[in-house]
Amino acid sequence: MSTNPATTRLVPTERLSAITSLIAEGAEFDGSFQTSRDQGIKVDGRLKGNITFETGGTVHVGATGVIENTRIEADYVFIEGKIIGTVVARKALEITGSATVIGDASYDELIDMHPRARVRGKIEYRGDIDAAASSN
Amino acid sequence: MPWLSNAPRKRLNAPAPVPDVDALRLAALQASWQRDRWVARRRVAMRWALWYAGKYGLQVLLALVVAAFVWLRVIPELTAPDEPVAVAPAPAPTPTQAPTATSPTPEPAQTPAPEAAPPASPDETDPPLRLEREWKAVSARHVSVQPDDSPAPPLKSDNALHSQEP
Repeated sequence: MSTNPATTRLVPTERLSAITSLIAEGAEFDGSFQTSRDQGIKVDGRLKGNITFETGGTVHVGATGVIENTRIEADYVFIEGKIIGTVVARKALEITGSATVIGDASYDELIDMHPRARVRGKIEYRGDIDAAASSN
Repeated sequence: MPWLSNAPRKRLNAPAPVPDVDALRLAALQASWQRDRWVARRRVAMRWALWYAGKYGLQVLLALVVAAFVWLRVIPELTAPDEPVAVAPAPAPTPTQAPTATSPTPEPAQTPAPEAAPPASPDETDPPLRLEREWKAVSARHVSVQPDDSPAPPLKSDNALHSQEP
């Protein structure tokens, strides 16, 4: 039986299927995760530390995942769980209805947030505001 | 004899085939997605329910209270059987009274409506509306009968009525 990944609006499904690292539900990881490759990580357990993808990268925080004291930086960030910290999405940031974000989040291109998402913090667009306005 | 054949024996302690790394990764991801789906749906449903409860909770509570009141108080009163009413026995007709006072008057419900009446044949002489006029006159005469001042007969139960039969 094949199961498709979660329904996404911005993050490509291929990015979620290409995830290479998994912190399983019930596991606790204390430390930082860093790579220079275009890979991905899915967090279903509990992580205390930073996640940094220097180029590319996909971060999927599952519905049971909790990340604390963190700074997440990747191209695509898909949040279904809970994040306490800072999120930087260089391409697309997607916050689902089951997500909780306590902290600031910034993105360069696209954002999608469910009306039932819980966000306590600042959402910042890091791109060029004037360029975006002139293109419309 | 199979035990004498030269076929190579199977090794009982052969190692289990090792799954492909990619297949293992995909299997783990699929199991994770499946768990995520149910947890996320349940959490979103709970958030919507909490939001609706905060917004419409008072109205729903009032509606439930009214519905419970109607269900427990009003409906039983309406559906409760009425108290038995003692029926006065009808006075037996005396032979001196002429039964022609009320009996020949036709009942209005039994008179056929003019529209529903079958088409009158040319042999019939009475138009259908004539019966209605006559009924009105008879009923008016019947109402003008002088009131009965005789005292009401004593009440008797039904069993007493039955026991009086021969």
